[in-house]
Amino acid sequence: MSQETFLNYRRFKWLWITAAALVVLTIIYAVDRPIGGRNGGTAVGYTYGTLAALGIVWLMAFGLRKRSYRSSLGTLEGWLAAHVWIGLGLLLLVPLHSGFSFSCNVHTLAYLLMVVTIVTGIWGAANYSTLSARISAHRGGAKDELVVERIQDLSDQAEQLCRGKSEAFLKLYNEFCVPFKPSLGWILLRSRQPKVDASAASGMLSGVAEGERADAVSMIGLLDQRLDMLRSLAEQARIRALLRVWLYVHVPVSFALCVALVVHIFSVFYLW
Amino acid sequence: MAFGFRFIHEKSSGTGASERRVVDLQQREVIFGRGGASHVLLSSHKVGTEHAKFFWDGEKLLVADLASPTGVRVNGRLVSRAELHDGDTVLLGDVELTLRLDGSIAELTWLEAPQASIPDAERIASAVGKLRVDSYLPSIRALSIVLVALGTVAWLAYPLGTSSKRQWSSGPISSQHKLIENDCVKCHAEPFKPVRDQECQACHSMSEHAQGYSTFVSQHAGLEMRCAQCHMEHNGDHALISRDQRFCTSCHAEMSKLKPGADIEDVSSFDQHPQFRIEVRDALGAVTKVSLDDSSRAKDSSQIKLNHKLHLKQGLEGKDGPVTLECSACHQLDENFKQLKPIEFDKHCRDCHSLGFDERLPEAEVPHGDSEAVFPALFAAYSRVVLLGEDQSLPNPARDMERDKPGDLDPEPAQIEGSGVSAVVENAREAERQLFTRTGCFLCHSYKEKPELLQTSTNSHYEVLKPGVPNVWFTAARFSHGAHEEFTCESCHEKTRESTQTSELLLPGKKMCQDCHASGRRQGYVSSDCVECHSYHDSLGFPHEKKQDIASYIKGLTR
Repeated sequence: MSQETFLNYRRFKWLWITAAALVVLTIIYAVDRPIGGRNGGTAVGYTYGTLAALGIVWLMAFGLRKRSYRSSLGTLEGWLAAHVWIGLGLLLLVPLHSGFSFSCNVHTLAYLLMVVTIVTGIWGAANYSTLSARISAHRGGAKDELVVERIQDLSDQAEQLCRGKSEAFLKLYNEFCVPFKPSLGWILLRSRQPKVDASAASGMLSGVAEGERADAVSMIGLLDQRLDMLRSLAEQARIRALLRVWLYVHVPVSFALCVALVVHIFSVFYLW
Repeated sequence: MAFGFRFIHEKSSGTGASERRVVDLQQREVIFGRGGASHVLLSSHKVGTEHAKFFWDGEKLLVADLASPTGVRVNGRLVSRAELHDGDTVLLGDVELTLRLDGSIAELTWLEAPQASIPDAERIASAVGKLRVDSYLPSIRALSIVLVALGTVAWLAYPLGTSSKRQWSSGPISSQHKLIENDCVKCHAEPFKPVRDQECQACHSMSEHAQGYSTFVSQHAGLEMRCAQCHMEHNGDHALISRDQRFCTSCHAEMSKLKPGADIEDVSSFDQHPQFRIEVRDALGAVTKVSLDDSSRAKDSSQIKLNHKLHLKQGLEGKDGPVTLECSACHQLDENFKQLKPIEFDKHCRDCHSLGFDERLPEAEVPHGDSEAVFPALFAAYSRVVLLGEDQSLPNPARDMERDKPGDLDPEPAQIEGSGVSAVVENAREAERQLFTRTGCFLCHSYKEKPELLQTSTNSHYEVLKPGVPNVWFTAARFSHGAHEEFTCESCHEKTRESTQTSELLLPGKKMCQDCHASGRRQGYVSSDCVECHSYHDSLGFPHEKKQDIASYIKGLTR
């Protein structure tokens, strides 16, 4: 049996609750034939709008619950499960509220901001469920500091071997000792981390003088190890970045959504 | 040319002050290192005692590693010996030298940062920090605050503070109201209040729905009816006049309960529509509504004698030979292609129906349309013959060839006898009697002889009863003949060819309509909700005193 996660929390309890609620709400929506057509201003429209607004406020409250470690309002995992599934449900509830009418205005803007928030949330949730198990530190792997230090050690050792060596030897070093310069692109994009190409290495090795060859082989060994570590460092950095970077959209846009939501409610009654 | 070197060492302290050391060396070979035989001393523990040699080989500048502990890197690449070019960086341990070639002088500059030797732990921490995405981005909190602030200004403060509230519009405005789409206050006069009728009435002058209706609304607290409840704006062009029949049927399905005794039948849809009713006037002139199904009462009470069967016979005797009349010979669409024009004697009847009164005066006719004008016209005609001696009896060969038509006078020619005014009066009175009771007028009209008291020597002694042919039978509804132009008249007015009596109503009932029209959206039928035939209210003429000048109106708009 697979492990329980925030998605399948209590056998998808919140998914079923949300889906059941949406089925009921959709049936009511379909049966309801208000005079003048379906829109946000009918009895069903107002009810669904109120539900959706309360839903958004509750989803925002997750940010508070997440930080209140002493809260007794249910487990954080339960909150997260509900946050995910109820959030997804809003994608349908809000169009049901508006009678699926969209236009170029602050009302549709609020919906779009909600969609952006939810889509980035889906991205984040997908990242968590596929990537979080691959963070090696979570499985007792080495911490970044240790890896960086080890990489530095390996570079130093390789440099030591270069002392007083021929140009052919240094060429080998220059080929395989790629500099370690992390950047946002290096982290986020699956940038190609070089490997020691065995055939290229043996080709270059044959150009190294007989007397330096033993040192060259051990240097390639060191540099190969170093590149392995760089690759794993990049991969770990990328995973951690993916678990983090979606929040840079999800959270600020959700606040913008709150503003748009307030303006939506305010303006609808202002221009009644 | 004298080859040489210049070494510049700039060391900046943390406070911003800097120290500068310049060493000029007029020699072809220079050794950089921490001590020993070095010409240039570099105080760094990562630099070897004699770390590297820079030397001019002919006109080329080269660098060679002197078996240093940390090696020599030119532009990042580890080298044992390499040629140098202007702009290259040479790294000796942690000392970075930038090369500028000034002719035969190689200028090597070391810009030593404060705390040049960063402790390893810190260096590692910085490298690890660069592995975190947060180190490249502003904080989530800052982003949130910026977005909230921008949103509040752009979406709330700006529209509130200016007249531009278009972004708050709930949807596209109808094309009829596009002129005022930027002037929200034209309709939304008061914030947080539903659009009031008075704002609509500033431009539109509409009749009330029904007599006493507003009283009815005011007596029913829950029954709020505003213009904007039926005319829903901001739905583009399709909803300004709502076709939803429930706007009507919510009351009209139970009018018998809501207004008992008002003679308004219950209608819940066109499919459930009661049979159409026409207005029938009784002998006292009182109007009652009678269903078409009530065949004993639903009759055409027009005071006109019309035999459709006879008129539609093939090969009728016409003015210029035999004619076969079609419906459109008499019933024609008006200029708007909607209603039928009223039948006019001069246009539709006169060609065949003469208003002549005396065969001896073949050119003379009485006027149509005014009974009172008949006797004076007759008197004038006979006066001209009898008193003034005009010859009215010239032979008329064309006329002699004609066959009798209904209403034609006795063809027997006769001389007008007698003389003087008494002869004129006698002839005129006789012609009048003939016209009203036997020939011309009588053929189509019913007449009434005036009581003796009202008969004078100069007025007409008969009068034609007003025909009272209704131009529109279904006064509460709207039917466009033009919209049904592609169908034959007899598709709907079925028994016209057999009809001999005016009283026979030739109107189609609702069944006829329901062959094509149905309420709701039944497949294969024209969707026909209430407004298909009925208007909620009529447009009244806009009051003159409220009219405004176009130029100043447009000036007042926000564009």
